[in-house]
Amino acid sequence: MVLNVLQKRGPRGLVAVCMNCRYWRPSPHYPYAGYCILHGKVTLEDDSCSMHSPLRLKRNQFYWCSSCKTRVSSEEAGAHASQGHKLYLGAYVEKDVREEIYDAF
Amino acid sequence: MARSFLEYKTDAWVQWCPGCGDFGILNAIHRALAELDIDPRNLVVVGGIGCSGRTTFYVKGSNLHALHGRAIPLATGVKLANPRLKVVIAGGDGDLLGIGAGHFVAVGRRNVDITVIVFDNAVYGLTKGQAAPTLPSGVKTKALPGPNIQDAVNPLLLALASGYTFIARGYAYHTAQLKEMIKAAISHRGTALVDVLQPCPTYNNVMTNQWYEERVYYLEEEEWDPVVKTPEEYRRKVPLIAAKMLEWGDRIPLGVFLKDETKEPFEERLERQMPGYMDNPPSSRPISVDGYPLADPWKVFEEKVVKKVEASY
Amino acid sequence: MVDLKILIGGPQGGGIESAGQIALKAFVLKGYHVLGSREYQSNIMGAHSYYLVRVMRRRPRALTLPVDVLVALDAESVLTHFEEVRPGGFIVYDSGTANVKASTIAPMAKPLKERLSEFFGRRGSEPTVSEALKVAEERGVTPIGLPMKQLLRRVAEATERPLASISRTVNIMGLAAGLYLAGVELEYVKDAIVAQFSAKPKIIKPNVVAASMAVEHVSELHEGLPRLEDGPLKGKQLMVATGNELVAMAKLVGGLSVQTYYPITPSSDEALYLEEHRYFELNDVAKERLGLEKMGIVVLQTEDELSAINMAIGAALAGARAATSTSGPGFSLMNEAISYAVTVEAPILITLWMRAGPSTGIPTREGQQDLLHALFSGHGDTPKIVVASGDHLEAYWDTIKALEWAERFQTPVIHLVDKYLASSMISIEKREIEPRGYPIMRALKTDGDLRYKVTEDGISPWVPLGSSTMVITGLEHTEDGFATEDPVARDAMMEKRRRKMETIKREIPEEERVRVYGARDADVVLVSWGSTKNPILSAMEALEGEGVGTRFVQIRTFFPFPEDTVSRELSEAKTVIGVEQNLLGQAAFLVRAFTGYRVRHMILKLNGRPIFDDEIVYGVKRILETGEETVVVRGGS
Ligand SMILES: Cc1ncc(C[n+]2csc(CCOP(=O)(O)OP(=O)(O)O)c2C)c(N)n1
Ligand SMILES: [Zn+2]
Repeated sequence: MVLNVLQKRGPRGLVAVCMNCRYWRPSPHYPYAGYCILHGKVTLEDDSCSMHSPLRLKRNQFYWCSSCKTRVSSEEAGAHASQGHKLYLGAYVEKDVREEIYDAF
Repeated sequence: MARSFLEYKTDAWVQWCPGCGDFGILNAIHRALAELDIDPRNLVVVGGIGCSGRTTFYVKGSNLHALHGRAIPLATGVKLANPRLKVVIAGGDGDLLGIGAGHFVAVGRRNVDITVIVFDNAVYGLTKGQAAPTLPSGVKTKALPGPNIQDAVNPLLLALASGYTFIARGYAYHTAQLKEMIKAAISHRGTALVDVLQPCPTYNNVMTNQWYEERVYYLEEEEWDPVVKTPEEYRRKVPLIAAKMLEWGDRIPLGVFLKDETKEPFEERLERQMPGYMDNPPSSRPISVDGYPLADPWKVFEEKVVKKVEASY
Repeated sequence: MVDLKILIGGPQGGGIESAGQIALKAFVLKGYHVLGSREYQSNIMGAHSYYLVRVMRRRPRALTLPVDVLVALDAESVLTHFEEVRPGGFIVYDSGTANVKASTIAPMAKPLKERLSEFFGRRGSEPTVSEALKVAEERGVTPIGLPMKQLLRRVAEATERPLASISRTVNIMGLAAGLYLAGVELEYVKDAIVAQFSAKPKIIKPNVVAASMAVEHVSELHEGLPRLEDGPLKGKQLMVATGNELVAMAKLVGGLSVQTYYPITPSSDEALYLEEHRYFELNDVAKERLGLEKMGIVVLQTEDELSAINMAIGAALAGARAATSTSGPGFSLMNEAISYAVTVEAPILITLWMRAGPSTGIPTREGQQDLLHALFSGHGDTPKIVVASGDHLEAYWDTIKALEWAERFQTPVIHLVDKYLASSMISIEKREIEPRGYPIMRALKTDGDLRYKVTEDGISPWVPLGSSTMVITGLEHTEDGFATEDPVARDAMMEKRRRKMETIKREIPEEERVRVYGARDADVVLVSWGSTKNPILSAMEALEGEGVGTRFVQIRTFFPFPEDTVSRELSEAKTVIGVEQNLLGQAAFLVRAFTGYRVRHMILKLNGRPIFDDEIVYGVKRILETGEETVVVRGGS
């Protein structure tokens, strides 16, 4: 199954912004910002650049569903995408996150 | 020889059953201590709960009789507090490998400098002969209603996997050889296991003295060098050692399987992290000066003080 | 009178902790006392968590709702807390979340979603952020939208670099806006940011820029808000520390040399903090007198709680000052060893950080359910000292005292503290933790070498392992420690145990064991223990203002129980009300057991959230009006 993960559409279809790019990983907490693994920097979901490469849904792949805040396999990803959920190839966990988390059990 | 082994006997009545292997182990312990010339005040024998744990009362030392299964952590606490003491654990296979198995593993990971002597009679003696974790499956002793349905654990392999740096197996009535193993174990710096096979004439009518005598042999009879001096040597030898440890049945090997000199004992790790630990160990270090604490909290915990800091950014 | 309350909510891991700490620091720098508290779920990432901050001229005694400012970093925070803001207050929220529906928030608890649907359904609308804000607005609250994404872009542009951190920019913007609305000038926020991130200079600048942008944005909308005047402690240095940290500090100060632990919430942070400081620098006097620069504490993570307590006992018997810390489930595992410690007379301290049970329960939430468990822990007759601290500073001093009691009486001491004290933090002045008055000394009796000698006061000579030959056993024993089943020797030891308890009772003064507050002639007497203390004291002031005179009996040691004072205080009162965070009324149960007095009324809180002062006020008034036996209060989200 190969299908576009439609997230932000313009009048002529998918817009080439970070949130539609396979190099982009949103923050799990504040998903309008994320990390571009290609450029190695934080960008915003509607930023764009010349290296944009559209994100497609493939087999044998895990996705981060930012709407559900959980990881899903490609078998389930289609169902999430069709409900308008935002899917990415991963999420961006900041390196100091440990300092913001409490012991939990 | 500076001391007689009689100096390590106490006046408590040694109350084991006639023919119990514990007598042989006790004798070997007494003799080993005498030959090592250990001051009984510097010796802590930590016994488990079980027939074997009574050893606490039969060896002169500054001794501690633990709860069932807890000899290892109790002994570790003593050793951490006062690393100068010689600490020897005497416990049963049920105590150390059943209810206390988690600690048996953990102590190896730390390589604390203590000696663990397992009185391995394959049964729970004090509670009348139930199967212990070292009783092979299928064996039906008199006391069991049916053949043992659970498999045995291999104490030597468990120790190897857990990181013990000295691993030996003896036989209770070969006291001369056992004494030497115990001496070597106590002298070794790091966690040492001596698994001592022993008959329990009252409850284990299968693994009797005769049964063992027909099977045991010593590693020295073959070519065997248990000493490991480098990590590379460890990697090379460990498969052979493990294979030897697995040998059981018609032939049961005894002797020192491993003496690993590559790993730092726990006490040295602490000394490295906190220089001065050995000179001022927790048991005797000062805690205050004239009733005032050694440290000023406002200074030691300064990072909690909210201060305006000048910074250019 | 300054009494500011701020709630900062967001996803676990999303910068709530540093925002909370920065808020506390800003107020301390401005000269105020603070109380802060973390409320979070048993989750590592993404679930809703929040920080509650209260600010006053003197140290706040309790948390309370509603707040003046809610900083909601995400949609879930708005939908969780929109009703917890007072009229005239503010909600700072991300304007990008306005259309988010509760039903689409994955981490939000189902029961809350259902309650929200019902609530908004009655209004003919749906639970969305904007509907929630409408409700707040109708109650006189002003929503302040921050366009977070746009502001992030402007921060990146202004610093001419990509953002250094997402969470730690979003949180600062929300916080800075919130603090501005609370009347705090930007300069204090900046100073607090610098103090917070002094070890991470790279994120200081973007954070300061972010704070300025957020404040600029808000001030354009809201000019002329009243500014907060400087507080009375301006220029003075204060420490801000949690109960976990204060107990660790006290262990170090009190001469502890071995601490064992197995990780468990809410106790691990205590051990970890101690471990961070395990090799500490001596003060000048000690340096000179001992000829040493540093001293160490062995802090060891064990394989389980069985090991933790047995190791502590072994260390204590060898002469170390030893302790372990745990919470309910771990304490259950320690039970057998507690009985052992009583028999072998091991001086150990067990710090028991209570959390909400039964079983794994709600592990990150507040509860006071382990009192009976602590008191009756261990099989056989196992008397031991049980002391419960009422607040952070009591927890600090009780730790020091408990270490001394353990040694002096050669007994385990169980120190009861709880999740609320563990993870809430207060501002502290230097003198409050400076060890004056309470000498720290080895308290071991050294008049002989018969370890279990039968003595008049029940306390035997202390003979550590390694100093002479001996035997220590959990079996009944004769004076020399050897096992015995002789009936006469047995009686002698049992009676020695009784006499020891009498000695403890005699030697720990009644003032240490129970404290009484409030007017002597008050009609209402509240009986409680542990961390409800300060909320009760705060409630008493409020009740006084409403003409209800109250008195408060705070039980501090449950063994030895302060019978005389408790009996006297309660028997003279018209109305006696127990205040506890457990189902059974455990302290009331003990009051009855020890004094025969039956506490007829209870205010209970069971929902896992710390009790608020206004809930106690409500409970007392309700009981006086209706005569109800039990009022369960239910505040907090
Ligand atoms: C008796 C007891 N002690 C401690 C805890 C606290 N506790 C909960 S989870 C946990 C550690 C879990 O680690 P692991 O088993 O490796 O699971 P992971 O989270 O890594 O999957 C601990 C110590 C507890 N719940 N009960
Ligand atoms: Zn989804």
